[in-house]
Amino acid sequence: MVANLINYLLLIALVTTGLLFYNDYILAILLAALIIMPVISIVLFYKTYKNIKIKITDFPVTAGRNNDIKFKILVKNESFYPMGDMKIRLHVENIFYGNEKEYILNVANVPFKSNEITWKFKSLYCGCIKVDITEVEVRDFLGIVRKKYAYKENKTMVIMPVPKIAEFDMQALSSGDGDESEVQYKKGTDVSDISQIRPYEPGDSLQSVHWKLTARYDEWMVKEYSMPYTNRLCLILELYNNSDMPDEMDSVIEAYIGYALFMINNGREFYMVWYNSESHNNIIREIQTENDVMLALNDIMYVKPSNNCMDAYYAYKNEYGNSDFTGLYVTNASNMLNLKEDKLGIYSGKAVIYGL
Amino acid sequence: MIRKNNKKKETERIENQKSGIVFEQVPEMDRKYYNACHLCLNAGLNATILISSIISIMSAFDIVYNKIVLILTVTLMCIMFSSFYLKVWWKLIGYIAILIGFIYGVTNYAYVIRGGFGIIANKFMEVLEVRLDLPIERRYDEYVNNKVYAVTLCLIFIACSLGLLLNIAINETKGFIIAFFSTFPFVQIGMYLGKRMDIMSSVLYFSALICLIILRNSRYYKIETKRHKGYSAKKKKNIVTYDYVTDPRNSFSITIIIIVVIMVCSGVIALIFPRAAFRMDEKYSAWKDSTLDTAKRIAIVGFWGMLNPNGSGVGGISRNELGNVDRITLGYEKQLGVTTMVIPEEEYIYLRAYTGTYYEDNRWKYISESENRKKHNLENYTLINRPWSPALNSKDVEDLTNEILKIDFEKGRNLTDAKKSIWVENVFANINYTYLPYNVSQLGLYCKLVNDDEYDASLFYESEFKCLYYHLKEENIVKTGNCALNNYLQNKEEEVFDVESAYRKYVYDTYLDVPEKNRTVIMNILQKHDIYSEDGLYAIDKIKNMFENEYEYTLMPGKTPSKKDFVNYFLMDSKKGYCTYFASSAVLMFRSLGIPARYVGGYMFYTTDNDTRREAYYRLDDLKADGVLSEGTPYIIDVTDADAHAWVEVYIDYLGWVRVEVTPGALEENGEDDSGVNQLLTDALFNRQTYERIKKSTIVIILLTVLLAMLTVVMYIFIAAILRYRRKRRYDPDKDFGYLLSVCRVYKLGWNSSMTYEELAELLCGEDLCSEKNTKRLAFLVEKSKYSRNELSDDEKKEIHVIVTDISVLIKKRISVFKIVRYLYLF
Repeated sequence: MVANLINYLLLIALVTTGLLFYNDYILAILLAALIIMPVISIVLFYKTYKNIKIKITDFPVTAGRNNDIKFKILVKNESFYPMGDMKIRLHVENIFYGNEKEYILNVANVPFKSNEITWKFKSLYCGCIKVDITEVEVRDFLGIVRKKYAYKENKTMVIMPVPKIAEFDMQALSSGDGDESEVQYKKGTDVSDISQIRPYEPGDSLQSVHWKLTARYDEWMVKEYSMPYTNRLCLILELYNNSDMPDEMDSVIEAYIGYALFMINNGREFYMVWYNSESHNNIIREIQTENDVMLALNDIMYVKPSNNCMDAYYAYKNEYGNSDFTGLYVTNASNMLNLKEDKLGIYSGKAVIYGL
Repeated sequence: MIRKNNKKKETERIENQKSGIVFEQVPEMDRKYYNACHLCLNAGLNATILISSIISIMSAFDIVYNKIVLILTVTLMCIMFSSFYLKVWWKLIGYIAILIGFIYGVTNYAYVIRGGFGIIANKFMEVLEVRLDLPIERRYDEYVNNKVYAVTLCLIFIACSLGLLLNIAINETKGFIIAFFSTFPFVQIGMYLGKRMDIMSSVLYFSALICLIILRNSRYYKIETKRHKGYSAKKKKNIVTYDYVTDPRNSFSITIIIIVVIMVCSGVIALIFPRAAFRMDEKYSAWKDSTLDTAKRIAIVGFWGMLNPNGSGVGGISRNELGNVDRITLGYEKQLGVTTMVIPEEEYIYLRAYTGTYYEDNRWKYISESENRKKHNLENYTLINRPWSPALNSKDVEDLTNEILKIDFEKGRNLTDAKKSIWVENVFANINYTYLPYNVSQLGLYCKLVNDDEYDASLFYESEFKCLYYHLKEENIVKTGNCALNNYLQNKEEEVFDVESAYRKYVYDTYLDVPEKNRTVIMNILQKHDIYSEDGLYAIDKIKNMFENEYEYTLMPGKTPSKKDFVNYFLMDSKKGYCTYFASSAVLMFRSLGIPARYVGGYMFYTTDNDTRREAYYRLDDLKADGVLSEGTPYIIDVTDADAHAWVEVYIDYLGWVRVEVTPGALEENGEDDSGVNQLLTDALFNRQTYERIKKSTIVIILLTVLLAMLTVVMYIFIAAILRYRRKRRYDPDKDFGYLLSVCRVYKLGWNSSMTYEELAELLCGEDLCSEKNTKRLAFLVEKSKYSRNELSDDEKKEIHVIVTDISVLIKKRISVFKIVRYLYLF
């Protein structure tokens, strides 16, 4: 802008010098035109620049991870004044991860016309994507005057993970080395308790085979563990953002949802718990249907992950450690070494579920 | 280039992985391609600037040309130039077409364009001469046949050359500076010199410049060249900027509005306030006047070659005022091409172009040009006793002489030794002159004698004519007081005498005129050297001797002072000059002695100069005279402007007009003045020797340039090899891992991209290719390099490299060499 102004002033100075020097009629006309034009331009510019409207349209509410997302930015000049090119600063952020990108668009400003820019992108990670138009800079058509101002136009959407029902083998905790004294029908709160011994039925896991009794009875005998009878089962989510492995958190969320759907499909009601690092408290939701799972997931996407790898674990232990809750703790696989809890399953090599 | 693109893609992929937000294609703006608008805008600006600046300049200097043809041609050319930017391949074809057109134009119309430029340049200099008070005497050759056509063609050539440059500037950058500096220095000359320029074209010119500034300021130009793509993207500090092409309709409409508004306002102002009423304060005029002296000094220093104090003229024939230049500069440009049989006796040939009868105002004029002496037109003389052909002319007398020579040639050969044919082609000589040898026996129809000293001729460029002429044995017939012709004349019928005697009367009435102001000086000179009319034809020799002994031949005689007579100044004061000086003075001196004489201008060239002739055996049939080929060798001789010459013709009773050479040293080959200064001057000019020297040094320069280029290429290859070697030593985890994967693929490890890196580590460990600790470490580091926002340290990169190398070595030991070569290096 400064360069343009200097150019213009130099031109006026040149014409003025020429007028004195060459004493010519033509230069007088030119000088008059050069002086009048910027005055008209500046006056009209300040009167009309606010008539520029920018909108984000066709913005979806949710989308899947790695799915194509399309939205449009509409730029309209509702004035009669032909301005110079306009700069729009666009900020795209995944609030969940804190990843962000910034773009600047230079578009033309034609009076009474609109420009539509179609954006197509996809998010590799789930979370909450926010598209924000932060700043606009307009120029007059002579390029002398520039006005930069903040603009408030933003839209958010949730990027959902790819939910895959994840089974976990609750029986895998036990090695099956117990003897007859273990044969007792007991319903208890401990998931590892054997509730009964029965003959093998096709489909039983080999891990549940009671080898001693099988050898004694010459018939395949399997152990059946007692199912937890209490309804107060908590699925705890550790929202830890490992900056070295950003895609790990996605796997954790997918595992979390996968396990939740597994339990819903098996008719089990439970609670979903996660930790809000901003408000420093646990958030708990009762889950009875698949819809509850999706709603809870939507809320999770708006939570800011924590930078500590066991915030949710300790928060849960503090609040619900002495309660009758049974906890299933889902965290990232690289956290494995920090825990001595019983591992119930590994999801895609990145997420682990523990029984608390 | 491919490697650079691949690296760019890889960098982009890694960034996308880190940020998680992937824009797979550039945001698209809904637009159409308005190619026609772009074309019209750019071509329009280009054409407007060119046409308006030309019209402004030409109107200021009152140069006449065909405006409509210029406007149409320039507009079409600008549209064509602008269309180069529609498609890439069209640009290449377009430039080739322009090159072909340029070569064609230059080879066929160079003389016209140059002549047109001469007209414009001479006009400029006339004005500059008056305004700056500088005696600018350099004059360029003008195309005399059709000045309007020549000037128009020259302007079209200049406009198209400049238009090509402006086209690039306007299309790519809306370059105001280039447009301004290439046109304004010429437009402003008219304004500076206070000339009345065409106001509307001048305003249009400035309006177009203002439009350029506005379009540039509005950043319209930024991605003009990428309008097919629709955008341009650049990245700076992790912020990507997308520039979208401006709708050309907007810019086009702005441009039209600005131009129309300014033009309308100018028109209204011009109506309301007439130009004469516009007058700035006088003190500003004083500022301008004070710069004139500076401008004059700059002009003298900067244009010394054109502005030597007294000016110089070019070689060649002209009927301009005599003595108005300081010196003659020879260009050695070919004017005529003469084809003839060169006989040993004929060392040189004279070709007559025009004759001058009356000496007035330092010029030789035709009878018809002299207001006072038109009574001497031939039509006023009739031949007694020849009522059927009352008008006579010198051609009749020539025919008479030729009759005599014919008889001599057929029977006696006392006077003649050859009858030859000669072909004369006009290359770049004035088309309105004749180029006839002496003693022509048979002439083509290209010229017609309209008065005794004037032909109506038109020998166009690249045209040639043929004539037959007699070569006389004794050139200087004047020496023979009782020439052998008398014998023939006595045997002729009385009719011959009647014709000659009537014509002789005319000659003595017409060709003895000496202006009043020259008589005294000439008589004094003649008396001083004891030359009297009683000497008869012997006086001619005396005058020649006088010139030989007391006068100096030079091409730099100096300018004749403006108030002095050319001949008087030469005879009395300067006593030096070239052929024109000697011939003019000799004519007046002969006339003073009662010998009818006239001034002749034309070409005199040597037939023996090997530098200017080349053999022409393919034209033997053309060179036969009456079916007979004379002895000798057929040559084509290049007659240049340096061969232009002036001599005298004297009338010998009963014989007719006879050539007399009065310039000292003219009949000696290369008998031009070879005094030190002139030699220096001619050496400095572009002659054949200079050309050879330039050619040799050009070849040397070209060879050196080629050597330098080869050396640069070798150095480039060498440095690139060093850099590549150093690059290899740097650790690149992506490259290392990619290599490991390709080796594993050959080994058929069983890993695919849907599996995790931990699983890869387990596979490697399972095959005993690496320890568990190292494989896990490798998987961790690879994941970190792919997904982490933090860069790997150099140690970590080295760790990956070491582990990968160890694994690869082990794998290669387990697979065959054939597989390694086939899968790793070939496919």
